Amino acid sequence: MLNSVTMGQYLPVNSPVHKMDPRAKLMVTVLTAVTVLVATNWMGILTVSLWIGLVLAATRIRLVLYWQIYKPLWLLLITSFVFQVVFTPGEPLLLLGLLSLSKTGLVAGGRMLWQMICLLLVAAVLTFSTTPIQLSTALERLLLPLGKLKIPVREFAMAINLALRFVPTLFDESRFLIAAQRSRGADFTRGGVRQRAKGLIPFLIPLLTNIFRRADELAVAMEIRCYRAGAERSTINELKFKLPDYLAVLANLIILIIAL
Amino acid sequence: MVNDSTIALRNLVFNYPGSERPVLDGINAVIKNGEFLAVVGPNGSGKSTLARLICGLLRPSQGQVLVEGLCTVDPRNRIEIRKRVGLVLQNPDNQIVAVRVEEDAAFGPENLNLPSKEIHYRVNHALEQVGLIHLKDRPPQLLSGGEKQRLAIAGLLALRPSFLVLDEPTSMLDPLGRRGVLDVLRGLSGEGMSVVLITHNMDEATAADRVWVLRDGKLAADGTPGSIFSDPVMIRNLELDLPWVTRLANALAGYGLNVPAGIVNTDDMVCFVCRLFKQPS
Ligand SMILES: Nc1ncnc2c1ncn2[C@@H]1O[C@H](COP(=O)(O)OP(=O)(O)O)[C@@H](O)[C@H]1O
Ligand SMILES: [Mg+2]
Repeated sequence: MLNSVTMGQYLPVNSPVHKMDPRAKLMVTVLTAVTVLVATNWMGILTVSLWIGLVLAATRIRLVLYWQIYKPLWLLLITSFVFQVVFTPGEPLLLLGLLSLSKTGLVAGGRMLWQMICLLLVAAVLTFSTTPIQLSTALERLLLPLGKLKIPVREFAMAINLALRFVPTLFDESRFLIAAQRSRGADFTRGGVRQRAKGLIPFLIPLLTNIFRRADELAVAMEIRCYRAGAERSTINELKFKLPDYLAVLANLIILIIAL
Repeated sequence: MVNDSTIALRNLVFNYPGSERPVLDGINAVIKNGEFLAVVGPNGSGKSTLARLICGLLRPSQGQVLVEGLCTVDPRNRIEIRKRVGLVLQNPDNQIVAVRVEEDAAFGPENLNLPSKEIHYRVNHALEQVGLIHLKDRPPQLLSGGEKQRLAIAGLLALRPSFLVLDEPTSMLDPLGRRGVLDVLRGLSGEGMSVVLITHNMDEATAADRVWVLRDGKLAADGTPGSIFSDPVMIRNLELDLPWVTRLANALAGYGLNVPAGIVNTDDMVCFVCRLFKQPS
């Protein structure tokens, strides 16, 4: 079992969420995200929070793994919260020197923090429980009507698949390169912006050359396996909407209506 | 035009655009159906280039490559040639397109737009052939290098090719992974698959039915492993390393034992040594 994850990584678990039709998962993800963004009343916020909790439980993935996606982001979350609180005008509750904290500010900040946490969780559920190929197939099937407008849906879907497939690889590779440069005495934490940027060059150049080499070999490996950009592809597990898929989408629609 | 089941190289010349000297310079040869061919040669002798020419990824500058009678230059033949010839590359990590073993092996048949039932059937069979069926739900990142290469082989087998070309598939593997890949190749060859194994390792080359030595753009030698590795003049002229069995044979001959010429693989050597000990002396 995997002990550490990066955003966008698939986790093989035998759960009801993993078994759902990826199109339904995509729809539920979008609907939940919209609900989170439009919910203003307490009833809506409460129901959608409960719904997300239910979905998390249904994935049967340890909560620690969800927690890990926030680790690189907590600073961003806290900063945006503080900014929101401080710069929302309103009746001051508390004065800290020049700063004033208002009730409206706290509410606005809290709501934004809640929204970001929810959106990240929803995205994590989708990528943890759906392989990039399933996701790109679902995207392709849902967006195929756009193909009539000469939008290259199939190519777009395959690009998403490959991007998701290579995110963890590239993370590993950059960690490896940073360690390699550190062991040679490189220091990415000291000096001015200019010096730091300069220090990054011996890290970025091998990273880029590796990416291009990988891309080149991957293109050969795909071509040799009869891949043709834009051609119709079938899939090993035919997509099929079943009862749980209908129920999930329906439940989510109801929650959206409650939140409006 | 012959419509047979071979790959024919006819007066094959290739130079990369912008370079003067051809990498391959007038190669005439035939790869027969069902044979296990090893291609050896120093770095830069054009082995990878040859592999890409055989698969139709590169077009010959002069001459022709005919895959079962189909000319690789004609774009109408492209898919038919892809279905007949598979290519495994050196780096195990860059050939994987999916995050589940089963999905990765299914990529080829999915591109052919086959029905789901047929894909399942082919993928299961291919994963069985390479001994990975028990790992079909694993993420490929968690496989060892040797298992990744076997997965790459399975992904091609699912396309039901007649020829499997492998460009130094074991050079990034540990001895165990190397052995696993070779065992799979021997098994496939035993089932009648044509295998073209490009390799640096002479011990691997001795597993083949036939060896090609590439040098200076020419096919410098073409014969059974026994005939090539037991010819000291050839070995010296081509600067080949010796397989360890041949080295052992030479060392034994140095002690005055009468070692028959052409012993290159372990089985023959074991037979010979056993006979040696049985002899009443
Ligand atoms: N894409 C390319 N463009 C130009 N020259 C190349 C290219 N790839 C390989 N070569 C040259 O062609 C020669 C043969 O290369 P290659 O087929 O990779 O040899 P091998 O696989 O036997 O080591 C080498 O001299 C190499 O420098
Ligand atoms: Mg090479």
